[in-house]
Amino acid sequence: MRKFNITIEIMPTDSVLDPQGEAIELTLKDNSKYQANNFRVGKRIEFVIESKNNLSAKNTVKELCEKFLVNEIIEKYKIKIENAKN
Amino acid sequence: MRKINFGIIQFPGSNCEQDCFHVLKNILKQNCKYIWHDSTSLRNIDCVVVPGGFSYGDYLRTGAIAAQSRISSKIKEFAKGGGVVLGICNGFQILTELKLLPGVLLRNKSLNFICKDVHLKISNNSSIFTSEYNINDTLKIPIAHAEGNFFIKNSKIKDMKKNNQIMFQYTNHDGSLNDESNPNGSVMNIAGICNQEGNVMGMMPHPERVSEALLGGQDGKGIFKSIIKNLS
Repeated sequence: MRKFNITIEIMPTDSVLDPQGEAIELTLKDNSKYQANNFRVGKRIEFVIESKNNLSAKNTVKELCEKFLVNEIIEKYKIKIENAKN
Repeated sequence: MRKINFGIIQFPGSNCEQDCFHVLKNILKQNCKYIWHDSTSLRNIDCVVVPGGFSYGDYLRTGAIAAQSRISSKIKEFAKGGGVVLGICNGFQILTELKLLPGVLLRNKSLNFICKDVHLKISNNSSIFTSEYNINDTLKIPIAHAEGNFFIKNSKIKDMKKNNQIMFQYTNHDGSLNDESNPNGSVMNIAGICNQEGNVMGMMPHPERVSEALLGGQDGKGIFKSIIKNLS
């Protein structure tokens, strides 16, 4: 078995209102210095799993996301897998 | 009339279970017991109540961690077998995470935690949970939540309407329904829904807080009375 470092980036889907992103944007609206807009606020989850290979690790993480870590009605996600240093 | 056996689920962070217990046991004189989250039995229970609170500190998403607990898989089995399940506030959030109810409860549009009395319209009185009310009755019931903004895809809302799954909608005190009467940004002002089969209901307002005159109102009592009447 090999160890993998997993990173999951979770973001609200485009059709979902993101009031946190909106609040940030509104706060900066009066500040012309930054010219920043389209804020969306998400979250990042990191963990380690043991698996046979990269593909089986990815499948396990995908299942974990679908069953628990992500609610796909309102969230989309990206998985990053790296070999862990033992 | 036989007494109904209510089971009130307790998760770490639940905080409305005693209110539910008081209403069911002391006011409505039913059998009632608490069921801890790592229990694996719902034996002899007629109706499961998933109360409000902040189960597991609302970590990850509201209700998401509670939905993974041991008792939750039993609640799912119980509901799939036709058992009656009522989820209030955080209980509603847990039932959506368990996929027993459609949609999801997002952060309130205002980002604020809102704690106040709201008015609700009975949109369906032909259910186990609402048969004691008349259609279009206006109730005054408090809400207390930060994540009560009901969201569901447009395509699904049509199915919900067709199946008569919308139970309560936020209205003004005169029963009129518009954006002003929507406290949290919910789609179609939805405050409570049921599943397609009609045996699982979730609602954000707290009926257990207005079930005796001493506490300022009894508008919520009809929900518990409906369940008792329909199950006995």
